[in-house]
Amino acid sequence: MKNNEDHHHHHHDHNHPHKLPESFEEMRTMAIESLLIEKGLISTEEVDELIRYFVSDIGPMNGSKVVARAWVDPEFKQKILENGNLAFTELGLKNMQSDLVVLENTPGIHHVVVCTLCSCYPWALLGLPPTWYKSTAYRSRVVIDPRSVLQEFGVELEDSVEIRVVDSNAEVRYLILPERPPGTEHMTEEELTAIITRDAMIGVAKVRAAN
Amino acid sequence: MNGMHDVGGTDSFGPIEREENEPVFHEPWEARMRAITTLVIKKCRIYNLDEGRHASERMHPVFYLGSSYYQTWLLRLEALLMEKGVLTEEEIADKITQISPVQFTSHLQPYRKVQPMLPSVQRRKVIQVTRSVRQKNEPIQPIFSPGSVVRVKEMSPLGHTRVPRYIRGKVGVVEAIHGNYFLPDVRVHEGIDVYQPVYQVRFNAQDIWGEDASPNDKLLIEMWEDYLEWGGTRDEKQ
Repeated sequence: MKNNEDHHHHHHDHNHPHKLPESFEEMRTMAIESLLIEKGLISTEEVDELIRYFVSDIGPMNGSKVVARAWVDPEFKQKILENGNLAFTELGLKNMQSDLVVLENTPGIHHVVVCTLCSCYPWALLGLPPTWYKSTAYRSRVVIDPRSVLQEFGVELEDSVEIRVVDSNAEVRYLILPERPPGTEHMTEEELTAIITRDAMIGVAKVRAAN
Repeated sequence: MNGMHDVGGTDSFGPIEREENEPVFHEPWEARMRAITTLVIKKCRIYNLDEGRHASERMHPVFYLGSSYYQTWLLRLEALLMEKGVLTEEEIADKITQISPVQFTSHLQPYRKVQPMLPSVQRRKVIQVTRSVRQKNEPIQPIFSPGSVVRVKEMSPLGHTRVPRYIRGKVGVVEAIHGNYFLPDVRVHEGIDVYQPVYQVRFNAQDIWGEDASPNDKLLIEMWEDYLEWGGTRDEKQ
């Protein structure tokens, strides 16, 4: 991706067409970008800057910070469970998105998030969603058969555990606060962030202590 | 609308395919197209997110289900730029002849279209709004409260809505009140923002899917107030 950005930068400095499209989609995208620039609606620089934001600025590392802080600081955890938006302010992160709600996974209750109608996702904290999250396979099945989906992801839950599937159909975004795994008592907040995964914050995985 | 996008509970889409260390974008055009879409929505305000969602819903089902995520995003961007009068297909075609010696075709060209809604004599486009305010911060007393037993209205509006089919007619319990949010249905079709309380509602999985579902499992979903009606004779909390 980095190379491509540089590539585009380089080319647009010269302000003439340079690269030939290699697919239907690339051809249409290039035509639209070019037309919108001619109409004065957007600029190449704005497009490049947003791509950098999507690729480099956002990602699961932001969500991991929230979860690690919640694990080590019970007061912070209580605050964000009551008002998820505080997760951004307290950690100095920018919320470019809707209101955030944090749901806690416990030994008895396991939350898992989906958007059955489109692809709603807390990208301000987790980055853009992976393809599987947007797939019809996941969106169709996790609501009707969450146990088999979780099994596929490697999460085996006892029958007694209550699974709460959260269909994110409105303007609230959900972050799952996974359980802190045993054997991590000695770890620092920073070390904890390294073991917290995107999938655990969607609810399709549990966090494992690093070996 | 009762569209193919509303896949919750649909069988036979196959296993969930995951990619290890998936890149944020697989192709450079995906990144540029996504960024362009964001600018068109957030900076130029040519259309909004909800109109975007509705354009996806109006795609031919064969194209929607047979295309990648960003292939549908590209069609949606094109369709709305044209519907809003920003671009024409002729302009795009002319530009393509300038930039590309090769003319590529879509893998699903005959189905690559966004359909207008068909007129109906008996189906509403938008749900009926009973109570709303015009500002997000304007107070509106929620009708339901945590513990209220509610039923999702049976409905089949032709237009945009955020009520998936699998939950219509089902009875659940209000878990929380999230605050006031604009009703997407009205935003798309009337071009105005009217705000209503939005509730997080909890359903027993068995009440949605029958006895095959686990007796312990629950489904949480958000419902704007006008999506709901009273679902029981008394509150759970009483």
